Amino acid sequence: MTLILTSPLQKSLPSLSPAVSHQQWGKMIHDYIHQNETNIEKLIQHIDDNVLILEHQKERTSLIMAILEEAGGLTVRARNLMSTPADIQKYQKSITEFEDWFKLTLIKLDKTVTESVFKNINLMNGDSLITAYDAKGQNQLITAGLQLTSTALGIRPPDFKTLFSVQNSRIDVMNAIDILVTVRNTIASHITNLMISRDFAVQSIDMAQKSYAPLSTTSLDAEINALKKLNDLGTKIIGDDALADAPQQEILNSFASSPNMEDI
Amino acid sequence: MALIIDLKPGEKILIGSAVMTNDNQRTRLHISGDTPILREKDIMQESEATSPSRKIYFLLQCMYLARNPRDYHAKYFSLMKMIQDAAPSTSIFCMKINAQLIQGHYYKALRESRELIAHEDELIQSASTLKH
Repeated sequence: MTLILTSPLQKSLPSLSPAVSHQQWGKMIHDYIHQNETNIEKLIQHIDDNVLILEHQKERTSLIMAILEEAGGLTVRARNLMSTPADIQKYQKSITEFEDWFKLTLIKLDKTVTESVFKNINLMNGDSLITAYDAKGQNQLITAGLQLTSTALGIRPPDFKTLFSVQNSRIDVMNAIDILVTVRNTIASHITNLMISRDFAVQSIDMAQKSYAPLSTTSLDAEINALKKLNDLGTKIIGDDALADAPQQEILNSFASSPNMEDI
Repeated sequence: MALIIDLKPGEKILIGSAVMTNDNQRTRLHISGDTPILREKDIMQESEATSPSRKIYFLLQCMYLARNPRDYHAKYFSLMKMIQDAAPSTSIFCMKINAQLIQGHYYKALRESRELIAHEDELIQSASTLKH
């Protein structure tokens, strides 16, 4: 292998001196890539484990949402029987039944929240799930859960004696739904982010594995010729289409013919 | 901690999906939050992506700006694999860029790709040196 130790390569492998043989720095690149490959394999497993937990927790938010909607429905049904004081008297029995169902629904909510543990994590009860991108944990994605019990959500004990108090229960439930939607969206967005990372990780491993053999046989001439051939393909390098999609091109157009651009 | 950016008169900056143009005096911005930020000097137009490594920079820039970076994965990996096949000495840079992408650090990946560009330039320049 005869290669040129370019300045970016020297920066990437700082312990090398220019006097070091090609074989030695070829091996250092190989070892660097191999170490990264091992770390990425571990990361993929970690991501898979955490995505499984997040998927489970997302399903639990759907269950909790259904319970809250049920509670909200009960407040609406009670409210519809309370248009006038006479109605309240007339439908007292039904209204009390709705209040009892509402209480039972809150008990069901609390039970569902506490039973949402999966692999020792319960985002529905305030736990956080940490996805560490590196062994030292310097780069992390923290999915912070929230306590979603009726008390923590601020749902007051039901009191369906007046229209005003029923409306209060309805407002409490609507606020709780808003909080739950935020938790669900956070979980969904973190699943998407982790899956994007996973895609990159899988492709990176594929690239790493394909790099080992060529690293030991490559030569400066071969690299330059191959790079030039690639360069000659110009805009056809990866198909006929433009590299940028329309929305990104539109943003870039805003910078066209800018006076302050530096050469990259 | 807020990011502090000093803008020159008339300089443009991308924050999120909005492009802002500074007026005719220097301005200091304090920016908090997690959104794409690109200064004018970091922007590359497609017409300037004149080499394989510069095309990688351009694609990374598009990923950074895109709502769904996955839209660019196929193009990016296809080109990255071509570069690595052509010049195996680029493998270390490919790995470093990918490591940033895995963590969702698109701006850091852009910075790493400048090293790939510099490596490519030096390789090509060394060819001319060898000929002479």
